[in-house]
Amino acid sequence: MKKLRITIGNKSYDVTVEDLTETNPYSAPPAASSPSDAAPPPAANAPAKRPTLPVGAGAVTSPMAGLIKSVLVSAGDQVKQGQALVILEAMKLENQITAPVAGSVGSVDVKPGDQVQEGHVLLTLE
Amino acid sequence: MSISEQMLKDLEKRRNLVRSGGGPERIAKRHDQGLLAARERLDLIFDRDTFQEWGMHVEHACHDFGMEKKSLPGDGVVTGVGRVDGRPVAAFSQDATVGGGALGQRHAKKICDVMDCALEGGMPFVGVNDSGGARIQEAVESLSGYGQVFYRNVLLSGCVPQIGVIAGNCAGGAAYSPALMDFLIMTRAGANMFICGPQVIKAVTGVDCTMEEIGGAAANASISGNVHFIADDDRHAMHIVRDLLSYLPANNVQNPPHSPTDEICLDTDESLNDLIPSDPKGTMNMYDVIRRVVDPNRFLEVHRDFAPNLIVGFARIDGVVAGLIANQPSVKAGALDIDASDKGARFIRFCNAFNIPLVTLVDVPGFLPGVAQEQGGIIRHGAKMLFAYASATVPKITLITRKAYGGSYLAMCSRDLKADMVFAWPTAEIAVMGAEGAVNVLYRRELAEAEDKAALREKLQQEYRDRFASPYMAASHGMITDVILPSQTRGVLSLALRNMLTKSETRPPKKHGLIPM
Repeated sequence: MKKLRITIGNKSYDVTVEDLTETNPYSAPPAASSPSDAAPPPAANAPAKRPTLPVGAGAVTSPMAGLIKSVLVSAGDQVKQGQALVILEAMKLENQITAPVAGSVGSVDVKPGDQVQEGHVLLTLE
Repeated sequence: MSISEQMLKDLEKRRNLVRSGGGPERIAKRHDQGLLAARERLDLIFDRDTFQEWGMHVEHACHDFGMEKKSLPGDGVVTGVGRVDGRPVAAFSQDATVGGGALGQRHAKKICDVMDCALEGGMPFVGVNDSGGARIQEAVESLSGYGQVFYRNVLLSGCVPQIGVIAGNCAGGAAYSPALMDFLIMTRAGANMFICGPQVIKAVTGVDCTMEEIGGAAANASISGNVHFIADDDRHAMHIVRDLLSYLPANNVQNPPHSPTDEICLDTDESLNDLIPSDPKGTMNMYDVIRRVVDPNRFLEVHRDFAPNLIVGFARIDGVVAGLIANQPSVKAGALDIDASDKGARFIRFCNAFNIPLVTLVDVPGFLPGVAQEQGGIIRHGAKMLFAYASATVPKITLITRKAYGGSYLAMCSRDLKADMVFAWPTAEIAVMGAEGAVNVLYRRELAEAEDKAALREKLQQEYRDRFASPYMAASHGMITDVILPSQTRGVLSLALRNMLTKSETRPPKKHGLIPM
């Protein structure tokens, strides 16, 4: 809310203005640091540090490092949510990598015998 | 002689004014958005007509910026004490229709008053957060109000259960009160929790992000792990509060609300035998085991979307309340990583603080290898699991189903961390490391000199597996209470749990241990 004084001719009016477009005129986050007092932005060449985010929208990535034991689908296949796509041998187990959503297989990016790291794109779903 | 009609009417008028909050129009607007009013939310938590409101007639304390002419009924928050399943619970619910639910000095005092009541009365504390943040017209008084709430969150911690619901905005410093509580429930739509919003992040770092990515329910529940439960809407959120309370004692000197059955069911369940893959490398879904061990529909999973390679939650087994911790081999092979360790340790410490026995189901191949894990501090995070289990004095029952390797075996409530009883299925593999790794170390020279390396390696690995990948080596050293058939699991765990309910263990007094943070 703002207090304003409007003068028309020689007469002054004290008015209070409330901005109704704001969702909540009475409040603000109490301790969120404002841009001015926060740390300076990192240097432009600082390495991006978001290693585990999926590479693309439909990318199925490896949850951990391991060996591709077998690939159970081919490009163009229709798959259901939860269907096994790839068998990844890691941590003493043959782990099923399953489809997070239903869709059709776009590309298959690994083959049996490949060693993959965490975050490696195994295949894409469309 | 009788009280004057005028006085009765005056009180009724005042009550109605406060109860209507920011007015019927604002409440109707919320209903249109699928949101409930502050009082309606509390009504869903408490047994009918048991809520006693505190400080209904409190008004704000602001004399600047024209606020002195403005009324904020109840100062934007509803507080009081009600009953849940016949037990008292203290609560507040912020009213976003009154001044945006912003927190001023009196608003904070109302919350502090019910927190003091919760502590002194030994009753759980529930807070429903829906607030624009600090009331900026009240300046440092408002800020101080937050500090007083935070301080009390810490006083209450470990004395009474604290449950927070994020049902609207909860931004900046305001997020730290829920963060100090034991369990957070967040509604899927219409709720946000963050410290710096997208605009500040953009201004300071230049990075574009959406509110959903940093402050939405899904991000808070699955990526950061700030939130323990996602609710579909207000109604569902309040249902989770009641469900959660049904497993918890009112305070740390009481036992959880056990309702033990008259008889312990010792029937065998052959379907448990069938769950186990014939190939030791095959994966098992631990939920299938949990379902067969706990009473029907008596498992409330905590942190379901965060670090799903470890499952934690509250259960009843023949009516006895237990905290259940289980590796999930169908996610990341069930390996312990940084997030899983944090999740497990936090849950174990909650259970210990509130006298809830621990049942641990083990199928763990190790700590997860990786550069990110090592650099992220898997050593100090993994150590939290050891610390939490070793410092827990509640009954501790462990079942080793399949894999139990190395340090991660110790970290899953082994006998050495003073589990009271450790059972193992015949499929258990209790060893310092897997056959592949062990053979490479033990027979390095022989393998280097062999003509057919692959054949020798396979032969040596098989010998190692036959001898060490079983429960009997550990059992021969007295590290296992008994080897049981999977079909016996439910009865064995139930009996063990029942037998240990009277456990009492004391440790040397100290201010507090130093869990590696």
